[in-house]
Amino acid sequence: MISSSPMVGLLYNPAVPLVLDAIGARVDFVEVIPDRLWYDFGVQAGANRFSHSHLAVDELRGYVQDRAVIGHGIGLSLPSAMPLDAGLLDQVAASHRDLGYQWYSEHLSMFLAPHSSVPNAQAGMGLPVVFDQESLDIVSTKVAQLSDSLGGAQILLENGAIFSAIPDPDMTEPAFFNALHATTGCGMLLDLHNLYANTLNIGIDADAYLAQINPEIVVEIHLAGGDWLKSHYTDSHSRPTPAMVWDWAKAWAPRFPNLAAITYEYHESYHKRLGLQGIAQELELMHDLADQVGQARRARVPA
Amino acid sequence: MSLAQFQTALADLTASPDLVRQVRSAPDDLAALYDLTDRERRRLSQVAASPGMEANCMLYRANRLAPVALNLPETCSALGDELAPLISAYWQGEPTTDVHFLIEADRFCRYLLARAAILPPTAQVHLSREHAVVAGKLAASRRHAGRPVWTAAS
Repeated sequence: MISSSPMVGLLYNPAVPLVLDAIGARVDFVEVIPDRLWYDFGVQAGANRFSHSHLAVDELRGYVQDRAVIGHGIGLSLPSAMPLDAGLLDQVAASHRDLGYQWYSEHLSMFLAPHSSVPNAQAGMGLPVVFDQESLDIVSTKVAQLSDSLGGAQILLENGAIFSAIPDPDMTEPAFFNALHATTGCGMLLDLHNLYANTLNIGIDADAYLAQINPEIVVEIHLAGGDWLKSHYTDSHSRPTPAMVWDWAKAWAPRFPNLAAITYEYHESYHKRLGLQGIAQELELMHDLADQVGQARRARVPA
Repeated sequence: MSLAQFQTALADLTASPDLVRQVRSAPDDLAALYDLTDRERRRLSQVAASPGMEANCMLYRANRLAPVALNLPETCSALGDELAPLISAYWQGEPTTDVHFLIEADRFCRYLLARAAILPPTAQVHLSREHAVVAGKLAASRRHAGRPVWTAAS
């Protein structure tokens, strides 16, 4: 169990430097999507496959000199029934050696299928996973490969926002996460906004879901806000965190003994809509939550 | 192998409202298209029938449209009602999306150029101009290809 309060941070995007310049002292860490630091021209390009944005990497380095960094990938599609992309994995590992991620997370969602794919637009479009032993074996093997490539770094997987669940599963999603942790040590990045979307779109019972999770496995929480797309609610990272999500965070975060980070996600195209003031307000609420978790932990430690 | 087929079918359904409509009206068609177990066929036909499938298709199209709309706004505008059938046919022919927006935009430009004769004259003019801009940006994005940026140790 961690005795201190969780860190508070932001998912890094091209607008986040504006926040860091203004109120950087309130941002303990940035969560970096390494896939956004390069252009990928595909395996057919051979040694010229990846073209990095040197300017973006240099700018990022400046902002993480005195700040923790977490890696958050969107490209490996661990549940896909196909091998890991070795070239992409090498790039992720190289970025880790340079930036020193505290841990690395990916999504428990499918973006790639043999001969097909879905445009993830920063993970806004992940397809649901079949929760059975076969998927568990595939994901477990890849989590081990990913961790090995990253020098034994802790791996987390994030619960996705989906519009239609695969019916008749052999196990629930929380049971899948618990089993994955038991098999590999993989932790959970609990995205409470994705859970919120799933309550609205597919009728998930949030409290039942949260109660099924082994509290030990939750290492990070994601917060965000979204929009309605006709009759479905999307994880568009476009608004402040909804009140219901804050209620769950306050009720459940203190119960996770290994919770180490709370992250607010927003997309740079909504920076103006949210405003610096709006983002600052999210950060203050996150610090209140982190303090609440810290107080609960200290209260449990014998004097 | 079967899970791979299941995942391919799910991705194909997400990419194709026509396939969703086909499976909704004739679920047994899945058996002819993919090598699936009975349980997988049942699962897929239920997913295809769910209201969420429409949202999947919508978000797929919105995400795929983004790089085209962002980089080829005048061409899209000049195509008008002809954009929808053209881009749907393009997506069917290119089922693997590219996360590089400029590659997606460039591929669609090339698709349109191969059909330039059937495009409205105004669209041809805008396409020529906007494709040149996309090609320039794409070349610039290749500038650092193969040149390492990462240092060995943190």
